[in-house]
Amino acid sequence: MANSFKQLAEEAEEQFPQAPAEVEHKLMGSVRVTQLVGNVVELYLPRMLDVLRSLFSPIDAPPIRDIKLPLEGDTDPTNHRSGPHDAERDEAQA
Amino acid sequence: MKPSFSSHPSRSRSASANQHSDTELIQKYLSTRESAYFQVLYQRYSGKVYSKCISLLKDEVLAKDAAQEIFTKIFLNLAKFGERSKFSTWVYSITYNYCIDYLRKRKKETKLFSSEADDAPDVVEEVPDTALLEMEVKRLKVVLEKIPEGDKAVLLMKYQDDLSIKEIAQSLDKTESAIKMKIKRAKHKAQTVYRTIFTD
Repeated sequence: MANSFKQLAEEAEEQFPQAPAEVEHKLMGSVRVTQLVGNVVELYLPRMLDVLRSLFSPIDAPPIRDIKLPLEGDTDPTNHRSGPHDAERDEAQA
Repeated sequence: MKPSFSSHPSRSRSASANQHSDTELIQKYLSTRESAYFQVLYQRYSGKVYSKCISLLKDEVLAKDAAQEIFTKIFLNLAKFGERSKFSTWVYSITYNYCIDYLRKRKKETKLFSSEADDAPDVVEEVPDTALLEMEVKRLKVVLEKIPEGDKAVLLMKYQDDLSIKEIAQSLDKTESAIKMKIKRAKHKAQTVYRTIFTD
């Protein structure tokens, strides 16, 4: 069955195959800005919150390097190491 | 000379992305956040969206702003596109919704989609679809310019973009029965205008 509405749409598309270039420029500009803001929020917001929390915390939180982390396959909590300081301590003890 | 997007390095990625379906492009964009994938979607639909905006808003400057707003909305809501309908249907729904909303605000024309009109008793005679579908294109164009924008929009949604009654209702935030009545009345108005203008 013929559809004059579709023919009308085809005519309009022939007349305007694309929106004017300035629309694309503005749109893609705001797309990039949105992505940049999203990335900044995703990467830096959690760190900023940590910094703020440590600044306003009433108790001095231990520095991250002093937090004992379990070694792979090590179930003895006394052997947990925290980082380069432990290695130095081990060497001194030896 | 102003640099064009066609000379942008991401254009080569756009060229390969052009082979993908709409759904694939959306999935690729959501997983990589590469704007080139969204750009291909834009290039696919910008002409259609822009021509619909011109048709409904009857102003090129307004249509440019509308197209930008519509694509920004599409971009910000890509993750919410649930594939319950075709991407094109979703795009056209947003387009009509934006234009009708704009006209409603500008004209403060409460009768554009008034509930009063929706609730009115069904007194109009049923116009067969063929009366509109087989109308000469030039004449149809004239008729669509003469009927109210709200009526024109529902006719375009149904007969040009194949939106279902349910999709039109969701897009315009109306009940399905209200939309059926709106279409019936719009067809009747179109036929009346046609008979008034073209007496041959």
